[in-house]
Amino acid sequence: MFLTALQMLFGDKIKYITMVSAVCFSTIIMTQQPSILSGLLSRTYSFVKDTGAPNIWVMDPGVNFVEENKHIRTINLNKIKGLEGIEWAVPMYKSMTIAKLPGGKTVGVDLTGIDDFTLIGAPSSTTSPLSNLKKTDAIFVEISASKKRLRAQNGDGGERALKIGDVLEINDKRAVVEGFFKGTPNFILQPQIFTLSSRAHTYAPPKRKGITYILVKTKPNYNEDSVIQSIKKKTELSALSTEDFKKLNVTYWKDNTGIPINFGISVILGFLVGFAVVAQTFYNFIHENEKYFSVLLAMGLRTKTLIKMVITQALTVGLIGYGLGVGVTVIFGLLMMNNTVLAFKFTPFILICSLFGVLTIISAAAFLGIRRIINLEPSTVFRS
Amino acid sequence: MIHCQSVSKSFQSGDSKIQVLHDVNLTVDTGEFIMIMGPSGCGKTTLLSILAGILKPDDGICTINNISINTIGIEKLLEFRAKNVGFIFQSFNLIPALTVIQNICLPLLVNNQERQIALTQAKHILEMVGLQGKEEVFPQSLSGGQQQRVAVARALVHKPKLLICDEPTSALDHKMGNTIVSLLKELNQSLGMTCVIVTHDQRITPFADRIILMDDGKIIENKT
Repeated sequence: MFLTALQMLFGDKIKYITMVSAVCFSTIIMTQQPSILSGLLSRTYSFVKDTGAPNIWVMDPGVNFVEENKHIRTINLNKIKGLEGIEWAVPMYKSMTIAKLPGGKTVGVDLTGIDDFTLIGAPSSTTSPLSNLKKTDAIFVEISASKKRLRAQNGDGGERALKIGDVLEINDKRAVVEGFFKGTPNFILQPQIFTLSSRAHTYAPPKRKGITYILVKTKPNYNEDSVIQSIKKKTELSALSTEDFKKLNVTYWKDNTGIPINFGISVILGFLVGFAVVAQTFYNFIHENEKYFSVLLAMGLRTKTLIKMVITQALTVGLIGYGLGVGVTVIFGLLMMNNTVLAFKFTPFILICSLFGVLTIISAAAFLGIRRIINLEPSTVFRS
Repeated sequence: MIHCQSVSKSFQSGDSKIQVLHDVNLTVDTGEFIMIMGPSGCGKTTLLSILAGILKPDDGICTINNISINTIGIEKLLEFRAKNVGFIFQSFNLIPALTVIQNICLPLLVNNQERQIALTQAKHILEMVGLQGKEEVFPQSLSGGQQQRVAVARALVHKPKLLICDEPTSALDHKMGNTIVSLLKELNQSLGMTCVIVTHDQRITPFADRIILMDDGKIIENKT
């Protein structure tokens, strides 16, 4: 009888399409919006993620997010190097500054200076050897920024992407593009530039304190937490594992912007619209089919079987709508991730939560239908 | 086949109780073709529901094929209806989303018949009612008479012992009504099933073996 239930469902094309579309719409909202939120929040720690080498980040205790750039004294580096369990510790200097592009346009940039000797903290994916950074006035520019916000102006008024050998001015100092790197977009969307720490100091001079972060790698077989505790004790600075630093970034932006609430409102609206349309349409579908269900009861069909038929219909609507919705979201994500700056991160957690949302919608619809079916009397078949 | 003795039935309507059947006694022999007639509200449909095993009487005894409708358990009653009773309704009650052949298969599927076998049997009965070639058509695209033929095919496909018909001709013109009832009569004779028809239609009475007249919840005349 389950095939019959499906034939009844598919046969009522308008209601079937309405219900599947509503579930699909809800699923799109319940997956796409959280995926964008998740993508945005993951950008808050993209710099930390891209800097893969250290497992501990040492910073000023007042730092809330990676681009906050509160500097610490250089002496702390030596203090940390002297601690037990440290394999290496290197400085990183970060500063927001202004770059003047070829042609005269000025753009705010996120400047990072890495350790002059080890080059630890450099991006992993570069178009030129990292050693090029040691050339005179060398900088590496994030590749997508070089084609968009950091486009150089030609003499004829046109624009072009930056190329190797282009000369920028940062704080009246010469900066030569010697390479590009692929970086994950960050939350503040400032174009990223890497250079050596010593050169970064000349571009954006520090006042008394010359380090923004100390990147630390613990020795194998040493407990990360105990090393963190000893760094904190020795320096009175904040030391966080890479994962905890990522969480700090997410928490800061989550708590200090209305972004999650706005996305949450969209998700709730999507859920409610889907809920209302599916529940109402499914209820009407059952109501209109009641006399046929009565015929089946008169023929000797058990109410239990009828309930299973209704559940089959509701589940079918839900799963097809859900599948379509997830499909649309995935296609949207693939298109957006490759061609736009839109943040998008579709996680299994979002998939499970949206499935739960859809199951709630169809359970409510099925419940309304079953309530009518349970009270159905076969004798009503003789009412004309 | 059917034996009803002192059957009474009432329904609650608000605070009052409406007595629909009063002390009805009726016997229908196997293979009989009877019609129940009477004015609206006289209890014909209630009696028909009891005879079909979809309504239990308040008082009295009703047995169909020696099975007591009053005392039989719900599971047994469902099984009894599924195997032994066929229904034809005034407004056909064909499921519009299903094709003709899918509609006809329903009683067989309710009896857990395998779908492929059900389809073969349904095709066979469709030929018997003269609608071969209409298997994949949806009911709405058929005329009233054709729809009622499909309903007849659906009622007979599982070879029931008892055929229950509620106003089978009221939605049809006279000619088509006669055709349907003569088809029912023909099948009644060839298949040997008992047929109980509730009708207002005086023009089909010549087909009946016996006519039962009801009024005010009682059988007032039982004429052959």
